Amino acid sequence: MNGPETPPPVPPATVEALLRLAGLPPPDPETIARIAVGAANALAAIGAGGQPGFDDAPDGFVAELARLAVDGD
Amino acid sequence: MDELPATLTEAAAALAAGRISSLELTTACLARARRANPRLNCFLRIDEEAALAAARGADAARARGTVVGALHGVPIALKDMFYDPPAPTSAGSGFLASHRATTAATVVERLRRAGAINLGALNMTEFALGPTGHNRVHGDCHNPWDPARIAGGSSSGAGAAVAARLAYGALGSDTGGSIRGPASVNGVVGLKPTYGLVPRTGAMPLSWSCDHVGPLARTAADLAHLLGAIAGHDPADPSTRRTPPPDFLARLEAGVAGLRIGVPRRHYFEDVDGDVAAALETALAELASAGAILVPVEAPAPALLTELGRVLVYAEAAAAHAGFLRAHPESYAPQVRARIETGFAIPAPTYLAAAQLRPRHLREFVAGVYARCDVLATPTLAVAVPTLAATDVGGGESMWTVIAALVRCVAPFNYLGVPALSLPAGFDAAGMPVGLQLVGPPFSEARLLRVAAAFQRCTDWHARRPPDG
Repeated sequence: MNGPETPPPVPPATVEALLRLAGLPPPDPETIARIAVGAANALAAIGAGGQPGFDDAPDGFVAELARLAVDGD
Repeated sequence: MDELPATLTEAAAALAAGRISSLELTTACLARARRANPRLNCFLRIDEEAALAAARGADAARARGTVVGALHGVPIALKDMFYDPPAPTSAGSGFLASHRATTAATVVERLRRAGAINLGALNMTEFALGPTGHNRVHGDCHNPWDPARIAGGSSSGAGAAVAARLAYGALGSDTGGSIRGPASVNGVVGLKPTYGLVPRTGAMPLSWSCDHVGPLARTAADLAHLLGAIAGHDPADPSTRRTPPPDFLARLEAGVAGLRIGVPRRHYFEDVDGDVAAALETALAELASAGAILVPVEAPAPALLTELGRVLVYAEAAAAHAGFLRAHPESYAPQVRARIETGFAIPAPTYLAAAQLRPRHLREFVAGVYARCDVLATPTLAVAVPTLAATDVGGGESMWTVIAALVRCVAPFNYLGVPALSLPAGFDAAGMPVGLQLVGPPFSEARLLRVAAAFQRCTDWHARRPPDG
């Protein structure tokens, strides 16, 4: 599976609204554009990474590491 | 003693044999640090009085027959993100410069209990978010091999200080390559342990899911000593594994005869700078000469795993920093602010999906890769060490491109949580270090250290010193 395709950026107005909702002063337009690209990449990654199953809990990682442990050498 | 011990292991042996005192060793390291710091800016604070007092105490204890641990009297230093009150912990920021925690980090306590002498706080990228070592508040950290080039990030000071022989080891953190990148560009060894091996309690958080604490030093044996001191369950960090860690020194000299080293030509060895590629091919040939079996393997594309990790990191960093950002938005470096604020634009279901998918990607990685090999070998950095000027892009248009070029081989393993080690594997045409990354299945640190030790027995890259080092 390759990396996610380059997606269209999240609309800058959406980024600005989300930052305002979080109580943050909006940064300059250039920074908002960078954030928009980053957010779009995040959304695309989930699509490219496969959809999680209905029963997949978000806290199963530590147990999986332990199950796959190679103890010692 | 005319010549100081070259490595942490040799320093510990010299102390144990009485060939040098901790006070002599610490005094020498402090003198070097004072001399080099104006050029390298790797220390944010040198705790001279405290270090000398601790060294005197270590010598007095040894004279009484008390040796508290494997690092008794050995000078080390800490990235400035590990709480150690009453000393302040800035995390490389300006507005937290006088921040004092109430409790010391578990790893700091463990290093102290092992007898280490802390020389001071090391420079770092602001809030541990950035692969170059730029810091507009405290000043950029410089690479001792060429001060015009990056010391890497975010554990910039840790890599530079160990390379310049200012400390025998250092503690760093790695959320997307922040130990391995600085290890590679400075020509030292650095280990990102398995998620859950080393506690993060008292380490300033960036991402609870992807933060890893680990050591940087000059040899595999040095790393084994440091890792042995800090690894193990901590009730205050529920992510840590209850199974006791192994003796990381036990099989360090066992060699690599018959060990299968997987080489993922696709993705990881594509688009590698010519000098870097040549050095890595020579390094792989050295491992084969030592008895390892090189096998071609397919590893998942790093871009996807890196991006899934970023979903976790940015969302969690946004949560961790929300209060600070509301109070001090202009205090953040543009690149750091843009990356953290990306987290506010990531929907909660997207964040949770990245967490849900993590065990599946780990399972597929381990099954697909380690059915064919015992250890994976990749470049640490696919590009030659860039200059500070070329990577000084702040939050501008090329921000994502610069970051991607520097972390593409290292960041996938933060999402997967598996152990990864970078070791010096040669030099490029400009005389800058090249790093080879070894990646193992969960909790296989002893195996990675064994491979690194075997490589260091048949090469001397790790023994090379930077100018004035």
